Amino acid sequence: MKTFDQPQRQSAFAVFMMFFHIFRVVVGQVWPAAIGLFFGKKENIGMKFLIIGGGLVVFILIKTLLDYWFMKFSIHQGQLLVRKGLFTKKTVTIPLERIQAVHLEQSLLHTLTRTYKVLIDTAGTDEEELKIYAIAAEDATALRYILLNAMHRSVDGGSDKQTIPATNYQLISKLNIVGLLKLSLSANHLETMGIIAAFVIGKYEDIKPLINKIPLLKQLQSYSDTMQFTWTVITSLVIISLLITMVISIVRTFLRFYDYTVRKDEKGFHIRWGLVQIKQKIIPFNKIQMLSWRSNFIRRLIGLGLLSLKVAGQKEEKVKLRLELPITSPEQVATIIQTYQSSLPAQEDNQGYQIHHSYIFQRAFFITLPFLLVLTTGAYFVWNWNALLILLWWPLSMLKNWWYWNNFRFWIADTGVQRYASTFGKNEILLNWNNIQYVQLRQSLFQKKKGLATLFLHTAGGRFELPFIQYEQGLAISNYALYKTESTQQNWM
Amino acid sequence: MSFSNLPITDTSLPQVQSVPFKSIHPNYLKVLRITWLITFGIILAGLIVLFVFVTKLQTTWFISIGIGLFLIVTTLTVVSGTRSFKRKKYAVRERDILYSTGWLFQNTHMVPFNRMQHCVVNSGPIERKFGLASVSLYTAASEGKDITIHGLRQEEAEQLKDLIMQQIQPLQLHENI
Repeated sequence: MKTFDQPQRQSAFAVFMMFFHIFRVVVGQVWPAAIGLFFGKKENIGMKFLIIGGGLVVFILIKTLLDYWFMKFSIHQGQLLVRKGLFTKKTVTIPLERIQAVHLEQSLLHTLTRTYKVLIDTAGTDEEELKIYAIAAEDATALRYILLNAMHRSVDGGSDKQTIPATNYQLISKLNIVGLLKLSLSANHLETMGIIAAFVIGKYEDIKPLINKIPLLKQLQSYSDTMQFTWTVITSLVIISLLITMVISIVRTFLRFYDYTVRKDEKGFHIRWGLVQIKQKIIPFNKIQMLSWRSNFIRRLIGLGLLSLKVAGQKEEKVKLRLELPITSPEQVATIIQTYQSSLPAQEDNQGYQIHHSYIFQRAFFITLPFLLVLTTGAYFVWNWNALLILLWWPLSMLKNWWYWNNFRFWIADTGVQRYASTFGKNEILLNWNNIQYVQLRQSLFQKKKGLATLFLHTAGGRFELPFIQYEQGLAISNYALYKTESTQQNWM
Repeated sequence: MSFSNLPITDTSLPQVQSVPFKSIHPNYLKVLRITWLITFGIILAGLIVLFVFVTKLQTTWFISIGIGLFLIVTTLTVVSGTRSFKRKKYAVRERDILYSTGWLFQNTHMVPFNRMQHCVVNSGPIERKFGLASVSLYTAASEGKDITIHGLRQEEAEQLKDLIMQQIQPLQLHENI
């Protein structure tokens, strides 16, 4: 098996992938402005556009070639070394035991060239995530085994084994086409609609000149200027938008969860999915800091959900590495939880604790009401007194807060802490005491007056929040959490 | 296994009072006031330049809004900063550090030594003038700010850093933190 002791470059095919990546990033940033520039001017700008565009492509090509040529990686004395840069030489040194996860990805082009993209995720804030755009399939597998062995050694206590671990996989879940369809149809279409609307509004000014050039769009725009916005028209527009959104939402879900398979061996979870691009991730059990599983209203009714593995060092904004596993039965949740914690606190103590009812009024008066008042004032200039209708949301939000408060429960046990929150959908979070990094008890002036507090248990994979609990209870939980954290030398990772 | 988490006494941490929570140095309020004076002075100068050179802004409306916003932000910063200063207290125990801060939102942070990655002593020019420094505590927590204890005397900050490093190192020998 290859040992990577000599510095080596990526596969030559990586040049293409790197070029494509940089090109996509650049074009993604400039395309609306470029369209605006191209269609917005009357005089012949084609040549200038061609020169700028051509120059940009040449620049990207040179940068890609330099990046490719000067980037070399190797494994030496238990460290992954990555050297890069022409003028500014940079060496990234990552101790192998600091590596959190190794992900292999294979797009259609990777499949054709028998290569893999390798993503190496680290926890530290100093080291950056390492991306190898393409290396030969057998090299990728060898690299993954070496890194995984090192990661496991740091947990096992140092047995110096270089062999490939015995693979005794247990299938936890595999999303079939029916499950995928259910997941697609039950996605939060309103959220997708919001994202699309935000995107269109954000780019509208840039692509405005394009609208004026294309007759159909121009006609539509002029029609919209003269159109009477009756309720029928508005309803039709909403329905059309919703249908478009649903189609986009379904495509997104298909791309994200197609053939989603979760298996486990004695070390960690092996996750594989993808329609166009096949991705594989390995998450060692010890890297999981917290677990949460959630369902929206519809998914809750049909027994679907998403289970999120909160892994150390994983930033929320790294959407690509987001670890949300589609769940189609409660047994799957139970199997995954077993690897994190032997039992659920909610099972040990069924009653659980509630948060204080002040939560309802605090949110209603200090968050919702000021927001609605500002919104109503703004809307008054457009809708006059009709803007007051916005304030009808206030009692509804109060009802929603009451429902949330009524359903909220948390449980404390010897093993950890668990919370359950629900309005229309539901969200459950489980935290093992051993994964706490530090404890924070917060009191607003309002909470102080009522003898309440909000408790935050910070972990390397996010924070666990218990809002509006009794201050004394918060202190008691803090003391217990500190005792559980400080009385053991058990590794948190 | 017996477990204890008693407050560390004066003899273990020189020049620290025996009370569990210790207030930060009073001179830190001066540091804050000088910082505010410089910051808001620069903002005020910027606003004056803006109103003098941009003729479109020379209306009663804009000037009133500008002055109003400036006064609101300044007052809020000074009031909350001063009130918060009075609540900044810390305590060092055998196995953790406790730090209390904030006015509108009063926070108590409890950071176990066996979760600390490292700590840093910072000292800005104004703090140095008053012989003060701050100690930042770093854990692997992914959300929330790093915890910084401001307004410590320079030597006190160094002692605290040494103490933290002493506490972290034996733990790191036992485990991979």
